[in-house]
Amino acid sequence: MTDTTEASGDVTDTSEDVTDATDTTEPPQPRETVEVSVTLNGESVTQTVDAGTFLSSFLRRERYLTGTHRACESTTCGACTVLVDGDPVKSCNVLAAQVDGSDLTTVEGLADDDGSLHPVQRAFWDTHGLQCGFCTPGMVLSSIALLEETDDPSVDEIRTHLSGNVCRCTGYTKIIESVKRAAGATDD
Amino acid sequence: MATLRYVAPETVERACSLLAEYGDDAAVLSGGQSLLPTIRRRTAACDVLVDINDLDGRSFVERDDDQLRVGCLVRHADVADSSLVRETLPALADLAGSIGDVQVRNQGTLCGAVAHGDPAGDPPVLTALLDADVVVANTDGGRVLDGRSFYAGDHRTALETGELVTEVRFPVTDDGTGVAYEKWTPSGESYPVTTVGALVELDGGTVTEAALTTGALESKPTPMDEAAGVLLGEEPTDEVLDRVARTLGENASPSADHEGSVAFKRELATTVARDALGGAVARARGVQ
Repeated sequence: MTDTTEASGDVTDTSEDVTDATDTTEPPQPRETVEVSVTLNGESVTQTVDAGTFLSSFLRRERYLTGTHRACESTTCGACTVLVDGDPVKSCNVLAAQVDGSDLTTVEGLADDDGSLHPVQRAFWDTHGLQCGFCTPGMVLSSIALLEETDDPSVDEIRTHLSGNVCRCTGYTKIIESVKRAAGATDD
Repeated sequence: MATLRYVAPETVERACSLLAEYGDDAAVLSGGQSLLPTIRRRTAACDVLVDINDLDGRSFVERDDDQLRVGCLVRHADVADSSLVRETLPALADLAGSIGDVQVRNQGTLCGAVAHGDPAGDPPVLTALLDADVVVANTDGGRVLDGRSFYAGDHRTALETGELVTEVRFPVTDDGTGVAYEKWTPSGESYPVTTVGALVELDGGTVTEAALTTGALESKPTPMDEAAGVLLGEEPTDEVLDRVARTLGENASPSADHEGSVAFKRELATTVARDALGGAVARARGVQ
């Protein structure tokens, strides 16, 4: 299944088509392309994309950040979860246009420049909170958002918070242990 | 489908003029949690998305006398986490916190779900039960629609082409009145198979007003007046509440589908109604 958008890369500025001379500030008109400016993992990015470009496609195809995984493409599995202004959202069900002006964090933005893992990544590593690893970027980002809200979440809170992230390998036990371990680590 | 076009107006007036100009080709994009899957599947009827997220001052949750006002850019997560909602209409906070999963609640808007009118959607049930005011803007200015008569059928509402829901105003109930919302879903984040909203007003230990509305069972939120009538004038004992819930289940008209038989859904409705009734009575007695 491909995107609704053609990945042609042909981008034309259609603003010249707007010819309402009476208005000094022209009202916006529907356009086939959209300029998106975001802070992506700390870096300012401005790019023009087709209007129907989903955020997951923007990240993977335009920015080559393939750590954001696509699986169900139907807002179910959570593998494509990224943080928008700190809040987890499913990037397969958000348009790139909608996050214009936002601060985005993907899994690529978590480790330090020297390669040392984020504490939550480290906890998943140490606890073996993954098997195939496909769901892991989404799991880690959702867990980071939870630990921003709550220092010491209960198992029920973790389960509820991660209910939008599906794992088909682990049975979740090790994932929940990983989050508990990360919560302990952040207390230090 | 023509190539998708996108526009993000900064005023309600501009949004309405765009919606009027493009008519049925246009769709309002707020959270997009229901709209965007149809874009992805290429089943959407629209090719112009009018993104309302740049509208100023529409993310409010505030109390205005006896109404709780929720602006059209308020996300489910904001409703669920709002201390004002929790204090004034806790059933709405419960409802919002039960929608989808964390990621969906961070994007989806309450007003969007009200306007979308999914038969299994959660917000329509309390909108109808409480007869909330659905505030609508259009190129003529706007109008206020009654929540009780807002829903016409499966994804069909009283909204006309070119109209935008700008806010929903829920009535704040007095002390002595309790509202509760309960549902059953086959798994955590999926759409519910049965939902029930209950309102109970107590005076001197007896019920002076009662209302029940089901969702997900039929094509739109359905008032269950006969069941609610069983409560009137009664002391809400367990036995009475059981009887009310059974009446609701017997009167429900679900259709059989992959989620269950008619008998199964009626049994579910009875159980869920009993929970909602218990919750509403407890809140009417002042138990949070």
